[in-house]
Amino acid sequence: MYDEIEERMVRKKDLNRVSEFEWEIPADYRKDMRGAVRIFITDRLLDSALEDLSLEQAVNAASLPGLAGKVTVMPDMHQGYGFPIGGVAATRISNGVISPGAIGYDINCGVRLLSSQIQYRDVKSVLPALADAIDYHCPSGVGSKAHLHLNEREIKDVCLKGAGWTLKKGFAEPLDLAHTEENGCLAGADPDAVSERAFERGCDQLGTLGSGNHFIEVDLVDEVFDPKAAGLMGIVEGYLVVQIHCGSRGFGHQICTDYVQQFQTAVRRYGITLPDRELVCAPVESDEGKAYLGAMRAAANYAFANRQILADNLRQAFEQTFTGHMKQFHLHPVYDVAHNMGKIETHNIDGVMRKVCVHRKGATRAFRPGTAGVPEDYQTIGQPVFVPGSMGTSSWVLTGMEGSMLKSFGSCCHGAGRTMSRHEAKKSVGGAQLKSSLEAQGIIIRAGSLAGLAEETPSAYKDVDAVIKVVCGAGLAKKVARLVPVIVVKG
Amino acid sequence: MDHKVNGFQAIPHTADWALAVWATDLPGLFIQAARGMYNLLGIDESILQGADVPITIRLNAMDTECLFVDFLNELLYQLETRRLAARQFSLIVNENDLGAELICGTVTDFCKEIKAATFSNLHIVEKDAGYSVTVTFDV
Repeated sequence: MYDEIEERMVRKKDLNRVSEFEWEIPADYRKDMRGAVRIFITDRLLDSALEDLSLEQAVNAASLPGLAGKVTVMPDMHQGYGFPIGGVAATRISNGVISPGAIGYDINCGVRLLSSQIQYRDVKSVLPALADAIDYHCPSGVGSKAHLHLNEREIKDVCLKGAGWTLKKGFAEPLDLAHTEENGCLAGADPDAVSERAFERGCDQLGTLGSGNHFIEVDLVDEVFDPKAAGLMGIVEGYLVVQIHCGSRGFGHQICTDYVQQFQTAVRRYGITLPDRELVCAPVESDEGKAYLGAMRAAANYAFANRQILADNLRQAFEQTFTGHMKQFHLHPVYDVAHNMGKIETHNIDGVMRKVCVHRKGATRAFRPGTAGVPEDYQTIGQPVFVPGSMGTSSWVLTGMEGSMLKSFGSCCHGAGRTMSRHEAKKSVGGAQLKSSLEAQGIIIRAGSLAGLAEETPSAYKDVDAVIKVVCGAGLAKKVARLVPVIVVKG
Repeated sequence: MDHKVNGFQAIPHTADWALAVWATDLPGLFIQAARGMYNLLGIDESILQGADVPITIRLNAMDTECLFVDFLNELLYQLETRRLAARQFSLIVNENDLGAELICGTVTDFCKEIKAATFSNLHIVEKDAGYSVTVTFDV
């Protein structure tokens, strides 16, 4: 098996350097490619990326029928399943396909950032109590059940209304929705395209964090690089902000599972040949493609509602902790952005504006200033982009720039990117040892599983600052602020 | 990989989990994959509790690889929704259909989660000594 992988791995000699931060695998690298692969990366990060199958998977993605332009890959790339994490591929609507595996099982996994008027130095001694309150109010971990149980009518309503459902139920404020991608609701969701199994899995998971790399993190704003943008977002140096990273839970996992299974026969029906069965797809405008789009949008709306309820729970945790200590503890919604999503968008393809289906898997939308879809109050600065690091390192707030529209279908990176397997990570450090080490750095940890914590050790990730240097150097995004963790809550 | 015995082994994957599985026959391959998946989740006989719960699974699919992935995803569904994991397996696997009679126990506490078994680079290989496959799980 290893010999087989070795033969198929892309090598550095197969790539052409385009600029300091860009490399390309030409469209003629392999016969079945329908376009080139553009990689945003430095020499050093590229050497790391060449150690797994992420570039091979990007080449596979370039074989998707109806590919528009180039497949682009972000510097936080790593090997996924079928499609690389950090990958972006656009396909034409008229004769292109949509691929569930190129969006992922955790549909609309994303990050929400909330800012506060709480100065870190004023509340340092209260932070352990805040960590306990967050842990109490925000259900996390494997099989965690929500405070809510939805009946069939309610979960279908969530599918159709997304974060709008939470507003109606009192879990949100109007600005929460205005500061969420697509206002927290993708049009065209179709609950009738969702299986009973997905509803069964989703009915008691709304408002839960889950496990794995999902987290809630309270951060200190360490440095502001763009005062205008930071000001508009309510981000102030020395103050606290909170990140929520999670997705559509078992509801989305089941929808992707269902459609990857169904599309195994669809590809035969449409005569589509693929290098990896996880990339199965159907024409965007076919009955199968439309059904998946409707179901995927339902899962995306579920995820928007999920992060909104967690945000509401966080507000309760802040209220419980800070009532009596201070007056201004309300959490302000900075933005909520997806990084596993399929969207119909209009982009410049070889000089012509075309409607395409943009698959982002481990890549964040990053629209430049003045783009439709960016909230009114962020029109002059561009869409906020959040790039979580790892538990012990920086996270970044960026804004989308012109380069993203020209080079990456309005997309940017989504994190630091793993570089070490979970098994290797656990061998390198014990969960208890890691917890002690992070706490010695002043980071309060609340983790349901110490083994799970060890799998997420910061050493398992790339240098997030190097990733940021690439996306900013390539003109995809601009630095707004650097955050450092003070509380990490994981399932 | 020793094809004289049935088994599984976790293999490196940057972000997710991958498992090499081998067995002398197809039902054995499916059972080893199930045991390997439970092993990745930290589930073994010692943590299964309660009375035996029988489960019958019937699957139809276009080929054996689809059946393989569907079977593992069926077990994940049973685990998430009913907290059941199989203690004993009895399987019949043909090219397009599978029948399984499982005896399950209840999992009261487990700390890891698999989102799905995937088709990524999945090829069931038949050689003289039996069958082998590598399966990647999204975690």
